Amino acid sequence: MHPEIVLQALVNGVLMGGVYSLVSIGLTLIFGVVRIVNFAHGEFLMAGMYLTYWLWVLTRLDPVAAALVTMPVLGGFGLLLFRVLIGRVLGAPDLAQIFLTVAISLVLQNLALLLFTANYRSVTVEYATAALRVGGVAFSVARLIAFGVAVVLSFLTGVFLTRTDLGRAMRAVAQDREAAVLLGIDPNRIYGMAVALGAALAAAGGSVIMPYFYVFPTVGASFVLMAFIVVIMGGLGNVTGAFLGGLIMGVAESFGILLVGGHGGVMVGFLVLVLVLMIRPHGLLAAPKG
Amino acid sequence: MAVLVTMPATAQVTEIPVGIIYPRTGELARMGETVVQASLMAAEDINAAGGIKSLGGARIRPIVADNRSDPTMQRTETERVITRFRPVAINGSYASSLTLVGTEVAERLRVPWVTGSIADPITGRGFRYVFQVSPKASMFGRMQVDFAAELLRDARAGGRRKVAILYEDTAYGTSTSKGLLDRSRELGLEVTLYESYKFGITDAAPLVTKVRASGAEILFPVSYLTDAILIIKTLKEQGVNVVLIGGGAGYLMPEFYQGLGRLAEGVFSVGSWNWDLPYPPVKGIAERYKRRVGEFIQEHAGEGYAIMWIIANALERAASVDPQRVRDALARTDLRPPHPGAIMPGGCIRFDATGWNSCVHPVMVQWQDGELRTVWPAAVARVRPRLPW
Repeated sequence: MHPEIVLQALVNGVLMGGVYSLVSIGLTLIFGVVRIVNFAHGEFLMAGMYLTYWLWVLTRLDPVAAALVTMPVLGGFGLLLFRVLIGRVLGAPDLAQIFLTVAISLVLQNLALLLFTANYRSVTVEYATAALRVGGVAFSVARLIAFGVAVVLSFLTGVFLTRTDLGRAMRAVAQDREAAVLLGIDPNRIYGMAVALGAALAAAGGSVIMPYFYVFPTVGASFVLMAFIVVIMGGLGNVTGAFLGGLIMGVAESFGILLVGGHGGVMVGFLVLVLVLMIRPHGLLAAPKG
Repeated sequence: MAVLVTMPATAQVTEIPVGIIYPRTGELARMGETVVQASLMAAEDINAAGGIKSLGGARIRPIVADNRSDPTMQRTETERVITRFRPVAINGSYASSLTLVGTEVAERLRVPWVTGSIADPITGRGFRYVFQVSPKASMFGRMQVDFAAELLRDARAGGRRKVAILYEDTAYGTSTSKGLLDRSRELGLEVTLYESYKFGITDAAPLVTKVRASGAEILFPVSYLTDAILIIKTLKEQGVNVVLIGGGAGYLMPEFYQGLGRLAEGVFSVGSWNWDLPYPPVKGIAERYKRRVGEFIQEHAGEGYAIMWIIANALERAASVDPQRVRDALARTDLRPPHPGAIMPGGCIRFDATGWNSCVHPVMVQWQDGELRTVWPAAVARVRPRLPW
């Protein structure tokens, strides 16, 4: 196979992987801090995409810039959702928590169907199909921007968690809820913040993919399956692990399609997941817990 | 009601009900509504031209019903329209899955049904009351490959022979792509890529990289609109210069051009009708439709228009509102241009023993300067196909 094609597959994989990372970080953060599996994460992404779409239709706001609006809006929505619904089932059995987030997912999907119909909607921006060419390898401008935003936001999330009081408090709650409470951290406030941040990151993911993708009510499902794989691969609750996992899955998918075939993407992705879990049963970076 | 029942059969008819059953809501509504509008326009034209003269100038009364894109609703709506309005014939329903259901009801209740749906089984079930004016589905794939071979024979192609087939893993994708593959091999084209992918891909880049690696010069993407748009955008991104030949439906919609802009330029597709066909009535129909609806008249709408005139012509010859007699008259249809019903590619309308319009064939169209133009076969082509080579 021509080296140019192999390089192109690598570039495709890394660029797509960046978006997987961004969506997965939010998911893993919510799980790590709140200990709840958010099955509505894909719908946060979907809501971010619709918001981006309508901002573009009504005001011609660039989809990437729209992230500045979608992040706070979805963040606020996440906080509200936690206060009104999720916060109430924290002490409940796992099954109740799962049903709640699945129900939120279904309600949001059907609400979108009702409001926006099942039509596929996309924005047209000038750089949608522009590409930089290095040798024979094309770097799509829209994907480069999406990747760049994903990396920056992932990095900022990391800085937030390690360098700010609120971030440290979040990690403290994630590590040991009781100890954190004893030290005067209000866990409910932290939980709400984590859900808000997770939702905002998903919304950012939704905004940055709009230049080259399209939105429809069930679009979240296409991404959230990948996000779950990434989160498990990276280690449940591990942000850096999710970032690496996203890149790995993007590259695995890309080479899977190139080498195996149109269906090879998901297959090779799962194969890599199995391999990772065989070697590191708790995921790439998570330390085994007693 | 009692009055109706006791009315003598020879009473003067002033209005003739004709059913128009299409999806006007639900997922198929976008296209269904275009056919309804064109059919209503045809009914107005027929009435303005003096109605059915053999019935004393009786007017066509359109009975429009909405099947809500749903086969179950199609069954009840067809029954309701037939039992309540006693139509002499029904025009419906564009989507083959819906037409297959509606025609079952009409066959049982003995009302003729004229359709532009393409599925082969529509006239393959031995029904007596079904008439299919459009080309059959099995002809479309063949037409695409024959056209590709024709393009490659063009001097501008410079001996290119390589084609790629990319298809989604649905019933539609697998059955269509197999036909494309077989025909390509029959014609001696070199199929360098025959690849399925998961419907609803999030990223077309890996697939497009494969197309690029295959060195194909012509690509058949067997995809619905959204995947097709994603693939075309990504082809452009990676600078892959390949001629695209689409499989109809989404490729023929105004949304295709709106979604892709200049990238849609040069994309080919197969279709069952086009607004620029060289039959005399078509120009006026297309212009008036555009004024009425605000967009160009699409393939199924053109068929809907023709169907109304075909029914009117049968009524004229039957000189009766008895569905049985209208059915017999339909079976003996023989229309040629410039009759407003004879606007299907191939020119004439003549039904064979199964009820299929054996004159008809699909056409190849290309987006040129923002307009969908007919480019093949030569007998109906309006412009030459543009090639990037």
